[in-house]
Amino acid sequence: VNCLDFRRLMETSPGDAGAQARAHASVCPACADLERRVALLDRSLRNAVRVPVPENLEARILMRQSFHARRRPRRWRRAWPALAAGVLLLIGLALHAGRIVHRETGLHGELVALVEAADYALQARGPVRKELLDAALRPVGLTLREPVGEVSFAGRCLVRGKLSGHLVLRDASTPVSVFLMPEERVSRESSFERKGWRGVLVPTAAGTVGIVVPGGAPPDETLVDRVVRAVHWPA
Amino acid sequence: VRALSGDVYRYAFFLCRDEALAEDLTQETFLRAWRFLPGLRDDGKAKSWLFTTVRREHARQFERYRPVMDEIDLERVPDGDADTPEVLALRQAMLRLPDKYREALTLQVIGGYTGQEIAQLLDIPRATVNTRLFRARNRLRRDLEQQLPQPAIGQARQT
Repeated sequence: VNCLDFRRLMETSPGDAGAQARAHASVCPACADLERRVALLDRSLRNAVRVPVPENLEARILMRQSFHARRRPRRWRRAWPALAAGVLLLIGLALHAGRIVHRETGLHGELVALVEAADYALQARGPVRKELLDAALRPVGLTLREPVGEVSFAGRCLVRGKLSGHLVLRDASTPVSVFLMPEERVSRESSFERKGWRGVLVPTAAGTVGIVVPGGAPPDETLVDRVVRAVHWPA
Repeated sequence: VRALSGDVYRYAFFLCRDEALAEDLTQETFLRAWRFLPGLRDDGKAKSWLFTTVRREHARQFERYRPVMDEIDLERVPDGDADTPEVLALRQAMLRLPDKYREALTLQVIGGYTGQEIAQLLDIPRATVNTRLFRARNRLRRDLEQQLPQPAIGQARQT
């Protein structure tokens, strides 16, 4: 091990230093000094990664496991071949149905799937500051001309592979997922209901607004109007 | 769960940079682990399995929903009671690292893995791991030099 080898080791994997590297540092003051400084950085790094773990995380993990265990009694294991066949049949039927559904109906399902996959966006606490909101929408080419209400999450996501704005608004504490899709075109306004979610697709001059809310009532019309009015679309 | 949930959560947090999602990933990972418990008696193997599962679960979620989170709201970086300004600055600097550099570094620091082990976990060549670790550490030093009074911690003497 020479000085160059030692420096390479310190700059990538100081924890991997073996007996030869330590022997070199013991006779080379410059490398010993480097080792001391890297050890300081590593100690700080170990402290930096110790982010606080949520209170009662272990209890929640165990609770979820026990809940899952109760939901899956042993006799189900014996029935898994039949279940698997049933699932395959359902998938086959869904694929067959998928071929004949209208393109806009596909967008309904996509938005619901996105909302379900991004449940952490629904849990975001917010409120999102105006500059972060603007920064989130800027790469999509969108701006907000007027306030849309309290925003608890602002980001971007891919809807059918196309970059879109994604906001979560708080409407009387109900999370309202808003998708701003400049590259999607729908022919007319349509509402939908899927898997416990209600939503609406609204065509605009240069894109589509999709709004999804949980529960039995459709998205509030005043809120929908407010969002549609507020968004300035790219020319 | 007690022995490893903290490390698994922290690894998940540095992957996704979101506390709620990190907890969700951690719970999902342990739920999967529980199904395979008989094969996971070896602590070392269990830890690697858990870390790999967090990665896969994170990738699976992002395959479906791919938010673009290039702006980190630094006011939302979690801090503990005992965290010093230096530790917080370093944590923020880590969260600003590009994903691939941050991932290799967190595996090294949180997981305690060697370069070779990281290469196996990420299924990439050892030389690539070294490059990522080198760049991650260099960026951190640079960031800290800008933010903290001199001498910055861990700065190598130029010879």
